[in-house]
Amino acid sequence: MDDLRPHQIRVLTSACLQGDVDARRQFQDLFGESIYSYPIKTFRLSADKAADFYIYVFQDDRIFRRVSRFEARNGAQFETYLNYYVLRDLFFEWRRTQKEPETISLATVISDGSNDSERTLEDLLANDDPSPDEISDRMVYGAELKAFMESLEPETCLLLKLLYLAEIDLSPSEIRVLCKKSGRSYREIIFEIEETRNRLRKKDQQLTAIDEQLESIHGWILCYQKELRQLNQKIGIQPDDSSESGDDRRQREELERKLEWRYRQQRQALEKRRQFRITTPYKDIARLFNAPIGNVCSLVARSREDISSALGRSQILREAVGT
Amino acid sequence: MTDASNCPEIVVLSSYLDGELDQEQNSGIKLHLQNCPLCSAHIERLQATETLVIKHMGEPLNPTSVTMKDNCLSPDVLTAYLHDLLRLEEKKSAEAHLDGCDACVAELSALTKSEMVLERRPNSPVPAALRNRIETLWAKDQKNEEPIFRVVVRLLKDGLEVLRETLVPSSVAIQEMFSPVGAYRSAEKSSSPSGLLMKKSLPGIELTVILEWRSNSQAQLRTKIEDDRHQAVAGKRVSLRRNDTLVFSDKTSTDGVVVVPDLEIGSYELGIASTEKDFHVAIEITNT
Repeated sequence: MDDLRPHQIRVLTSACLQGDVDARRQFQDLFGESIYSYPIKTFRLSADKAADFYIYVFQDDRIFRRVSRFEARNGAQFETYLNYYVLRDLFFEWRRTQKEPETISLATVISDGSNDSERTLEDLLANDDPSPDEISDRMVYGAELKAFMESLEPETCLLLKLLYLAEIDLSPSEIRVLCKKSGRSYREIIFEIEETRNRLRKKDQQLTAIDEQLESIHGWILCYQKELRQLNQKIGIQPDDSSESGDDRRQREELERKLEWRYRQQRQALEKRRQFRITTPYKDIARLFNAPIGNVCSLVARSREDISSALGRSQILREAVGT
Repeated sequence: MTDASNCPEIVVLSSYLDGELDQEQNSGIKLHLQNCPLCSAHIERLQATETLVIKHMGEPLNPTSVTMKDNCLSPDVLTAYLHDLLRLEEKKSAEAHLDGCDACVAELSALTKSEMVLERRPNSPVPAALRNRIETLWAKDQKNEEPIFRVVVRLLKDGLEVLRETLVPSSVAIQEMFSPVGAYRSAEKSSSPSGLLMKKSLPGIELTVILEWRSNSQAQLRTKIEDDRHQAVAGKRVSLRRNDTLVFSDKTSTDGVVVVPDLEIGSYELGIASTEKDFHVAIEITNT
């Protein structure tokens, strides 16, 4: 469908909205699989649920009303718009019509490749709750570490983040620094970051499974955040004492609770993922950082040594190493 | 006792940790670490440092603090930028915006990530029963709606072209008009029609719609309403909507005509009020 020309897309979507059955059939041929697979691939929903979503999307011409006004420049752009904006919004709208809470992620089987070891994500996460002592330790270490990390050169921080790219996200300002350093566009740099992540992910089957869970959790988080933003805007324009406002506030609390649960799930899955210890190859860092491999190699070593020496002087590292 | 002068440099130990050494170097370091408590402790310290650093840096960035604003890049621009479809000046302007807007950089990252996740995982085929169910839904909708008379026209340099004539039901008489080369048409002989005439009988109404070429970006729409004895009907309300927004509304003159002179490129819905039921004609004008 990449070779669809702009006027063909416009004519097709417009005809679909006008009720042309042939055009609708063609639309289903072209995009049906993407629409049906969207909740399966993004939110790990079952085939039954995906079928319910599929019907919802086509009912009352919901999808045609949304896509008909988009002026796509080619088929690929249209499909991106369809997936990221239209289907995401419709999914979020559909989910609100569902009475039962979603139970997908925790029940998904995570295989480590051995035949007798099939565990669900729930099993995997069940005993990961930190004890009160651990929480307290983390807070102390966290504050001291934070102060230390903030004293590091931004470039050193960015280099370390690139080294652990498989598990660390870059902030918009860090992406901006990479664009400036490499002289490449945002599009190219962001694409390269994601490509590098993909390659790292492929190194281990179990890591891939956890990553897929993380992607699904991330999808839910985005979904809840969007819902919460809309609700907050709505609450902001309502009088405090209206009954509608009361319902919305309860809904907001429920959403915040769900979001917090998803954050926790995300943290725990990340914790599991860290055990795999996969670092980005220096050649990939060199490409992103626009520096020779030799420089990356010595910069990584120096940064490690500096941090290790600085932290070695503090209680944190001594305790972490157990000395 | 190990001789410290034989110990590998920190660069080598760090590269060993990251799996950057070749097999021979790797075996050499492994052997050295088994026999050198100093280096072994050094490696342990580096690993512990790393664990702490990742824990600190590894908090996921969930884009709660960055909110898109009104002047932020639209979905159209962001998706076109992602696929490298923007013209040079549009691209420059988008990148200038990205230089100062965290929300759009975060949105572009999320968009790229989502695109790659969906590309990486294979699609599942739509079950045949589900496809049929959707088609049944459409068939039901068709029964509940008055048939729609719809036409898509492309404006050319010297005339117009009907893109989806087949969508016009057989009950609509449709005819291409070839006017002689006139004041507003190119002096060269044109093989494209200069207009399109469509006629449809509706309960109590004879409707004529004429779409005439003006330029490659404008057309004129003439609507004529007569009764079933072909007498002009005056005072009948005719409206024109563009993307659900009313852009024109007028009553037919004494000769039963309403003219919209400067119709630009776009999708329109021509509405004709009737005592029994309102009718609409969908007209899409494009030049690409």
